[in-house]
Amino acid sequence: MAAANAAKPVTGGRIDVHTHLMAPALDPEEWEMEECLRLAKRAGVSRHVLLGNLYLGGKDWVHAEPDGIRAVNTHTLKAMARHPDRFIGFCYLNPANPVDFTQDEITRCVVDGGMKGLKFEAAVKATDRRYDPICERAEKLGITIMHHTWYNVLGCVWPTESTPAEAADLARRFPNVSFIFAHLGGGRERGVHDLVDLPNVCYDTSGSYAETELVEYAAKQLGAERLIFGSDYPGRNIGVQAGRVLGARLSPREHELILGGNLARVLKLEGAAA
Amino acid sequence: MNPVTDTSVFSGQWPFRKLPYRTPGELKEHLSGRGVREAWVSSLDAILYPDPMHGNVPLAETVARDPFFVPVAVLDVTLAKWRRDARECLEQREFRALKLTPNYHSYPLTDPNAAALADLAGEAGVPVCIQTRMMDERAHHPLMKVPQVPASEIAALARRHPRTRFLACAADNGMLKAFAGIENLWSEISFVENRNTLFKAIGVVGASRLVFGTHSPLLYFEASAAKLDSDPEDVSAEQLETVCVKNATELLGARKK
Repeated sequence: MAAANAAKPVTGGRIDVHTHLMAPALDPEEWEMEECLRLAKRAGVSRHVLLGNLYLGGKDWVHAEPDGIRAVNTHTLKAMARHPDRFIGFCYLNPANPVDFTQDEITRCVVDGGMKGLKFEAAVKATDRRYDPICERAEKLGITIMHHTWYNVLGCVWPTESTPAEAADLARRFPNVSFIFAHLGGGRERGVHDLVDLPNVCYDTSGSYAETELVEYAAKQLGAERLIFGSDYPGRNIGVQAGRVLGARLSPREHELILGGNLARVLKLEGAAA
Repeated sequence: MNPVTDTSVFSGQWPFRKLPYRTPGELKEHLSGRGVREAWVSSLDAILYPDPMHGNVPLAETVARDPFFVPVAVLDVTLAKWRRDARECLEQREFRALKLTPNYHSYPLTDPNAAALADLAGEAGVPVCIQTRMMDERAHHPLMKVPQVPASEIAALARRHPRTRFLACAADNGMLKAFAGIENLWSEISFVENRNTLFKAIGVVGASRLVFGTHSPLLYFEASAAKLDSDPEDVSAEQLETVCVKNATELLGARKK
């Protein structure tokens, strides 16, 4: 069989922008990190953006309080320290938390801890003005914000979940901040058009099953340079989600950009093409 | 990697998505170029047309003499003529399996006609494929939300008809748990996905009850194929061969004349 991932690694390496380590422990579990890296290697993926062990946020982890946020980010910092060449951290935040706490957490995780971006899940709608001081800080630091987005015909999973259109409102108000919207597979064609006129926004390819034509459609509307491979591991499979990109009828160069080059550029990673 | 049998592909139009590879010829070129040696194909049109034979017959006429394809007829057991359709498909049209789409044809698998079809298939020696879903339910057309077929109904039907072979197409992680231990029920893995897909699926139902399928052309072939790229530490070559070819051969069986 012409295996899905036969043409393994691309120049600069494949990077998964959407990885969680979710084993229920305050410290990253060695077995989970090793399993993640072992399975990723088979798909030619060498680095991961860790978006946090969200369950450490507490019972209502989507609306985590400061203690929960701190636990999530400490877990990420420890995983980064254990595998500095493999794990890139994003700082998980809840805009509803006190401003002082959030600013201190950005200092702890990004300025001092070396994280490369911020991650918002669904704590408050992206149209909420409590995002403003956080986005202003992100602009000053020159870091990227990833925001969960989805269009769900069955209704939002959480009332505070944002659609791509709502996240686009935020990105439009902060045109100098680099954003990555999560889940092209959740926003689909409608989501693509929400961000088509926002050059500061990229779309991660994760979300749902690997439906044909969607990656091609997004690449045509946005340009392949605005798509970034994400798996949403461990809920999803890294190889399967990479297969969504490799199965798309795009050029090898476009595959390469989506699987790693674009994220290296956005995060200004060492060795990234200008 | 050795050639595989793809137990769930479709030909035709699907009104909810633009699809590539819509004709049997395009589908064959796409799949055979990726290592598929045999593909079980159904008509997409047959799922939504009022009379599924308007999809089944053209498909049969196109693929009848092509050994690459195993034609699978979609039947609607709520139609008064379903027995006649079944006979025509099996006796005159060379279909080698029957497929039910209970969620798109609006009946539960507890319907007596579903039981009657299971008996008919068992007597004919052909498998019954139950299409559990066609798309992620979160992404359906807002005016046509079609829930997945309940795993409990599939399991119960299979248990009530132990002499009939069943295939749950587009089963997911949760369904596998409901299917564990049912000897006459196989699961097709195009919608099974988790961190270590095949290894974990084998852990739930065993390699002997899983078959490879891609749900092409609705899902990227390369995504499903990646599930076979397992670490040999996790999935042995023998287990892989079982999932890729052997089980499909057993499931299809030899038709009774």
